[in-house]
Amino acid sequence: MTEVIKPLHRMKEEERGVVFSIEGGHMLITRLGAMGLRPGVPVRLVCAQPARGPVVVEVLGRMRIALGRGVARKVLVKMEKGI
Amino acid sequence: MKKVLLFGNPNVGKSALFSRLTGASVTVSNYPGTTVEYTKGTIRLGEALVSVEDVPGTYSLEPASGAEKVAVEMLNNIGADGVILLVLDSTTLERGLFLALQVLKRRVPTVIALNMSDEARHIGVSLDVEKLQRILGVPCVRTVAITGVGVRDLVNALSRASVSQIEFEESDIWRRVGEIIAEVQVISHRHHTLLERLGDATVKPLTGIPFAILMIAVSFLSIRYAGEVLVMLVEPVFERHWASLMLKVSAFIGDGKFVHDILIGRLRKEEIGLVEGEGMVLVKGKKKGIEEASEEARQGRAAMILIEDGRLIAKRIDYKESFGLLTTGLYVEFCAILPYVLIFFLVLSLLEDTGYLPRLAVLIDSLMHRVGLHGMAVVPMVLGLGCNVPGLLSIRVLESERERFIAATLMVIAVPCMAQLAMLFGLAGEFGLSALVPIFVTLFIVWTILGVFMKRVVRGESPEILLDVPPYRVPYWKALLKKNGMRIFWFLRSGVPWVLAGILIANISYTIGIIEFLGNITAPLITGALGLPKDAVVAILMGFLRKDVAVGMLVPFGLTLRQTIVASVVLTMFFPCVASFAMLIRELGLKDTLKAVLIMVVSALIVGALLNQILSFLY
Repeated sequence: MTEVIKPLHRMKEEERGVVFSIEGGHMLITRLGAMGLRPGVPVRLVCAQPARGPVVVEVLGRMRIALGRGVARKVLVKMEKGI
Repeated sequence: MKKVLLFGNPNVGKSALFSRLTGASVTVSNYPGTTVEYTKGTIRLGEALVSVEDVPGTYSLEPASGAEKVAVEMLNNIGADGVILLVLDSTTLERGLFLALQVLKRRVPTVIALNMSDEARHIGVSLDVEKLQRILGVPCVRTVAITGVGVRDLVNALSRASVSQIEFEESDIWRRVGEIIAEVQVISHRHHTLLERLGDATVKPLTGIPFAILMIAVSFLSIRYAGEVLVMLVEPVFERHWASLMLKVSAFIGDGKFVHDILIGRLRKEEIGLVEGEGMVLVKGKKKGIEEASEEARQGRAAMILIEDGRLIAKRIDYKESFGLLTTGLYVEFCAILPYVLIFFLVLSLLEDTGYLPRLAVLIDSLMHRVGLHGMAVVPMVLGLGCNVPGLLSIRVLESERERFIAATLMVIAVPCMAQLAMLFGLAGEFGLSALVPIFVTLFIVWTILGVFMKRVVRGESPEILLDVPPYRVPYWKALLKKNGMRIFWFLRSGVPWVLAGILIANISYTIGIIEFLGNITAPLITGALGLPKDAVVAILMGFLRKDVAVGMLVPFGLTLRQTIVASVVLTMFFPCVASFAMLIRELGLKDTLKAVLIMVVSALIVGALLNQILSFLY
């Protein structure tokens, strides 16, 4: 098993991981955090819309948040990958 | 205690609780951002009357949208006698506590409602309320606002509201939230429920896009056809009972009098036949008894049958042409529009209350970006299809000034309201879809081109979508009916006076000859460029007062298919009704409203003239 870190918008549908960090300013970190998306929480990618549309991510197994690609690329997720 | 402020994250049920506490009517739906301005109500606590304020939801005390700004300002101005009623969603306590801790640090007396406690139990989240109360130092009460469970306990708890003593470092807030969660929350392992699976399936592009197309088609068709069925149920009441009453009133006042013109309008006279001798009448060359001929002329509709100058005459009320207040006025509002509006509101509330709208917002997001908006703009657009006034109010869910300008301008120009649509269904009736399809396609093209244009020229930023997608919820039928009743009441209360005023003005201007005059001076434009009869100018002007009446005024002209399409499109694009215009000024300010009006006038004329040219090639 190895650990891979990649941004949210690069995840595939149904892939799971844990938020590693949010590469943004104070405003973005607070905003996402207030919605439940912050380092340490488990996530699952529900879907990515075509034509560079938003991604929908499940947070903590209960909440679902839709984010534009620009924000999604700032959310880094740690995943465990079997070889 | 003088004031209770409902505060909390978006979509946690503040408005549902507000309506339970005060009995006041506010809109409750299942998407973040239903409430964009505050509403006041009162509640009796023992002897005292206390004011309760419903506040838009906010994720943090650093506002990101106009609606959030309203919320934070209200918190800042709570005053010495105020109590905060903090509403948290029990299913997502982590999120709620983040806001709760910040609010508790304001050291204002607070009570916490742990709302949606039934749903939390259902998905396997159990909370230790006693422990939470001890940690936070304020009363906590489990509630289900939509059905009223726990609301009485909550009211009792208001008098025990206390100031929390909780301490934490601002930078350490998440660790503190985590500690509290670990203490009070137990989650039992579970599989995704059917509703959750459905929720995901309808937002994934592969399954969600076909579903969305299906939903929109079903919604449109059910409004169109169920509305028609309702019209067919209401129409006989007007054609028989109301018409026969109106004919009695007409006989009482006397046809030709001024009051008669205003209230009843013009009666339609039909010659049935020539009277020949004793009780006999010649109808199309056949001799019949007067009774028999009269009965045939009635055919189930009320008519006044009389003999004038040796002819048997039927006087009828033609609701589409008489233009009296009690005839056309009431008919337009209750028979032509209300049935469609009723079904529209019903469909809308299903979309709102199940939680489908945020999913539609996600699916449509990249399209909306083409016009400088993001997916959540689907909410104002859909509401605008009902009535532009609440549609314009809801543009506050959009974050930037640029988005708000674009959304408002697109709405007033290219989104027809249900009152107008219902009349268009009537006007385009005989042509059916061959008129309706070109009208909608043209409006959609206009919407897109104007949006792309504004995206290029309007300065400012358009942030990306950042939206909480709530789980699907089964609508609670009592709440759904209440919301529909409320909206219908609102629609009639704000609509009827304008419709009557419109009919009155139309009627008077016909009588004193203004129409003749305006028709002549605008003929080059109306007849030349748009290819409409010159009297149609009055309908376009009337559109400023009320769109449905304006469409109604086109009916007597007997327009061709081409004219029907051109007139409908121009009428939609040209000037919003006075109520939406007032709202536009309120939401955008005078300067931006003038810009929007400029875009509107120019585009309406260009599109109208162009459409007339294109269609004259085709037909």
